Amino acid sequence: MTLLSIDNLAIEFAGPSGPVRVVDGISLSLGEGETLGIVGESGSGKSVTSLSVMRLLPEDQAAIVQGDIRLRGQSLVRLSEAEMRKVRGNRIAMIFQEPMTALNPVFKIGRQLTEAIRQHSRKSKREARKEAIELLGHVGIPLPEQIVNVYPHQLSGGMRQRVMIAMAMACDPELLIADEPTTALDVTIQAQILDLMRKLQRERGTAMLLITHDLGVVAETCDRVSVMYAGQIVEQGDVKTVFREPKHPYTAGLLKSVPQFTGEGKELHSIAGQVPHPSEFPAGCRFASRCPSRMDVCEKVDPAAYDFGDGHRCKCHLYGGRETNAGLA
Amino acid sequence: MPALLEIRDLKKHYPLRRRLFGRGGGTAKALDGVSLSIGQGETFAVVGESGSGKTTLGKTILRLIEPTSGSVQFEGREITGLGANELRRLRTDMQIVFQDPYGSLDPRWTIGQTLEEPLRTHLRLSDEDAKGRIERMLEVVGLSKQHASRYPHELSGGQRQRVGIARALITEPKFVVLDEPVSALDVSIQAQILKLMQELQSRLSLTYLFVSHDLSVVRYISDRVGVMYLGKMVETGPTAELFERPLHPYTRALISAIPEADPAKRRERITLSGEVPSPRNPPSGCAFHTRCPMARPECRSVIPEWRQVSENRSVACHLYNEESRDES
Repeated sequence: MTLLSIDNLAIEFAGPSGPVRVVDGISLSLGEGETLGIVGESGSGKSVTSLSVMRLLPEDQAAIVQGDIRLRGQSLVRLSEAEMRKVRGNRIAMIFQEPMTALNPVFKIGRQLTEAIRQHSRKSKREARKEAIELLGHVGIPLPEQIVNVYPHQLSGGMRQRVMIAMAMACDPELLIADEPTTALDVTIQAQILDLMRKLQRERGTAMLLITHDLGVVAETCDRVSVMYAGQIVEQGDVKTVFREPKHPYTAGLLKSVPQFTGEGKELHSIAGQVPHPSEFPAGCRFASRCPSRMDVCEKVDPAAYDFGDGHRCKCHLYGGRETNAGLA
Repeated sequence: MPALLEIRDLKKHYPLRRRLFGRGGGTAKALDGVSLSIGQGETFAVVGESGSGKTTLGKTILRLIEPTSGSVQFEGREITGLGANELRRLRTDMQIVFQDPYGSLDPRWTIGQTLEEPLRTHLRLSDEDAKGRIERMLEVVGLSKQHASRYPHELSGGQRQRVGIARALITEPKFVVLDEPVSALDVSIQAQILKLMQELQSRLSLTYLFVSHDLSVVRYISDRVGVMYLGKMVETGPTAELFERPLHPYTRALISAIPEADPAKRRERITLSGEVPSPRNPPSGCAFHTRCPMARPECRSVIPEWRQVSENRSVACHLYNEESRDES
């Protein structure tokens, strides 16, 4: 059963010389209980995509100009703000890279959690507080009955992220969007948080959209992956397949630029050049200027998406002879 | 390999301010007795989490932070007591590249001005010589001489880090501290910069102290590694050996925590409970005992000695005291 589907979505931001299209025609779907990773570098459009699902894009600067986002078939794009508020928190929750910016520094942890709980249920203050303490215990916070009485700045980064997760899980959402949830954390704490997220997901069957630049985190947590480059999805499929047999030269290059921890291969590849600015996206393939397999056609014609079976698709002229798939193109 | 740098029992303690009613006081031990030697042409990596003291170590060696005690010898010469003038001369030989290519460049200076400054302060070159050197340096780091007239905001993150490297290398130093030089960069750019640093090392016979939290990067770039925890070195050894056979339980946990970009290799993981304690109030005995899966009663009370366990490996852990005692 499809929980979330994004269909041919395009998002534009206001720029000094007209609108700039930062996300261009992306399509993806996420099943119940599934984890989908969106991986890409700075400027790929991955965070803008996740914010658009929550309808958290700044309205005066950004607009969805094409396509649709549906939660169990219901379009989120067309909901009123009041209706959308009911979706946020209840059905879709989000955690961010830096929990300090998402927590209110002047209120104690307990108050913020009970407020979140009471926003979405008819519980008394007392019941909500009891539930807050239970939730904190559940996300592995020691002495939760004391932690409810402290302020966010008194907690470490890892503890703050646990509080954010507790808050996100408070209303048992169907979908959790995690935008670089462990990027600001030390590696041993990152391991704890990833374990916690997997545990909660197993227990509650929450689907997760994980936005990250870290291929290691994707490999360890996700079922499927979408690779974004310059506002488009260039490849997507099952994590094992994509990592083992990347089809797009960008995916392949990206995988080779990560120093592998185990194994002998000491050779490190780099991708020459840099991601073009959204106002300078070329008419053809956006990766063409950096691509080692570039052909003449690449600079002129935007490639279609080709299907390799089992949902493994890649947007690249190298596979020109194959059936196209309109869904990704 | 002759040692270029010899560090003995280096400490940096910060006095803690006494609170209103006399509580507090004491010291935070950011760096608590680190000894190591770095060979000519070597890349020595220091790894650890936030608060481990790895950045303090790099900066204290350069005397960007004044050590509380201990000794740093550069080419056989003690540098901890040097006065301001001698120190300035030393700066041409010892340089640093910072993590944040956004924050470490002056936004009001052109790249040319940024690169000219060390030449003026340290070498007093004529304008013409300086200009030639700046242009050559820009090419060495993969930029062009046109970049000299640009401002930092006109450059990408990767280009800015190239400028950071150019600034460090323009005085032709022998030793460079690289403080998380690629952490702020995207993966594809990170690989470009790592390769550039390697190429420059062999071309200019540089010695690196590479400070990083990223073990995969460290494994790629370094010859030897030191692992730090709460201001102390807990283990050192040649890179491949240390990663394949880590001795200290902390090193083992750190290695097993790395997410690997290969879904076929989802490994058994040692997840450490708890967090890194504060250096203001470090645990007694072995500072790691509060999180150590192998802690024994003595770990709580006795500080483990820093001991050499084989030709090129040292570790500070009670597990190895006993083994060596049993053998002897």
